[in-house]
Amino acid sequence: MNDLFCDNACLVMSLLFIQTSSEERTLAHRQCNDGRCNFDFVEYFCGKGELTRHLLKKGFWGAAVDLINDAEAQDCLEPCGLRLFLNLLGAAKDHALIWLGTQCSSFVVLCLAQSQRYMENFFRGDMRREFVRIGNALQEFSSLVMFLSFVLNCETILEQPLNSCMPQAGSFPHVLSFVSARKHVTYAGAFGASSVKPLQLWHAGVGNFTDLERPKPDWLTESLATHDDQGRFTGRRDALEISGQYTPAFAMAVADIYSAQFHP
Amino acid sequence: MPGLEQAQHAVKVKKTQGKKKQKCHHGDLSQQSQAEMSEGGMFRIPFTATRVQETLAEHQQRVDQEDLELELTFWSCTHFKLLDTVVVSPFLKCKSSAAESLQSLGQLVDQFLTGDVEFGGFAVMLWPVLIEMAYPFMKGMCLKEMLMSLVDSWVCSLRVRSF
Repeated sequence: MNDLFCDNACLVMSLLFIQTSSEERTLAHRQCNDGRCNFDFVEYFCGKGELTRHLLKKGFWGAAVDLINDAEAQDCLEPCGLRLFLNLLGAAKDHALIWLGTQCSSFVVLCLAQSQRYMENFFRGDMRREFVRIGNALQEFSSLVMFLSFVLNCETILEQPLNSCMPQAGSFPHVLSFVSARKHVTYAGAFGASSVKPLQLWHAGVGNFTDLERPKPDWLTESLATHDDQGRFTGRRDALEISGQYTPAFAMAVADIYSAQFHP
Repeated sequence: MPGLEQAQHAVKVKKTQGKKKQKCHHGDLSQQSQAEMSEGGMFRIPFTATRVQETLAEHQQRVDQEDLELELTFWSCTHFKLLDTVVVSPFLKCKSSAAESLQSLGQLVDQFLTGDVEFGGFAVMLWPVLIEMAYPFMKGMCLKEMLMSLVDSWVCSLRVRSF
């Protein structure tokens, strides 16, 4: 049963490619050497796959996975999904772009009252809560991928909101230090998002992604949270969901910068 | 008991191959798609739904092959020590040229693990759980063995890299 499940996982993995098929565009398909994959990129936690879409347009070949494509087969907290996720990394070629858009919800300030992530507990938080435990597992998975992709000579980027404490949690501080990751701060609002949304991008590799940095878009006023009289704030679910997806301009900028340095 | 080990390995190979063979049947490519794969492995195709299905089948076949080889490699990894002295298993795909890389990899992992202790030991504590979940046949290995086996298999089997 489990094997069958794994088969489905591999098939469902390429849902994004099906989505792109409606656009009738052409795709430069690179045949794998020796019958093996040779991915130019792997996008973990890809959401709607805007980044993958633009990388494919540039002629890169790769894979994109996310729980929202298949709640069982692409769940990296399940054995089959995790194996799929790790196998994808093993199929990435030198200087492949490994993009980690790991779910940030349990690490952001907005959830601090519930998650209780503080320096005293190594930002591991209140582990009696399920969403905190899930967050910790995703964080350790991301941390493991970052280390492995460094060893495999890939270009790895962890993307988080600026107020997320994920880079400080668990094994991440050591991994980021060990792989000499560089932090870039930018704003989704500068790439056409409706809110400012500051982002931190941690990059490990020989490439240079400094061009993703943008000044703060002061003209934007939309907030992702509402404040009450006592200073407490609550997230706006609809706005938060929209902000979770990359804008086409952001995805295009990443694809442009990557393709300028590592040709397809 | 080298004879017994070899026999066990042979049985394992046979069993795994049989299982994978069944799984691969839907990965057969049509003659048309095989013809499209000419011209030096690079071609441009209209991205239609039919083509997507073929691409998925190709991908499935590749993943199956990789899984098979990874399992074989990992299985053999349990029989050699990956600490200071690197002994390359006869079943590993890495030939002599990879030995130097393996040693460098071992040093790199050692450095990382030493630092991890200073940062609270989270990697040593938590990563084996994740790796074991994905690859149950690695149960019982220490983190260094897991990481080295994983990377070694990927590097040797899937691509070439010098550390």
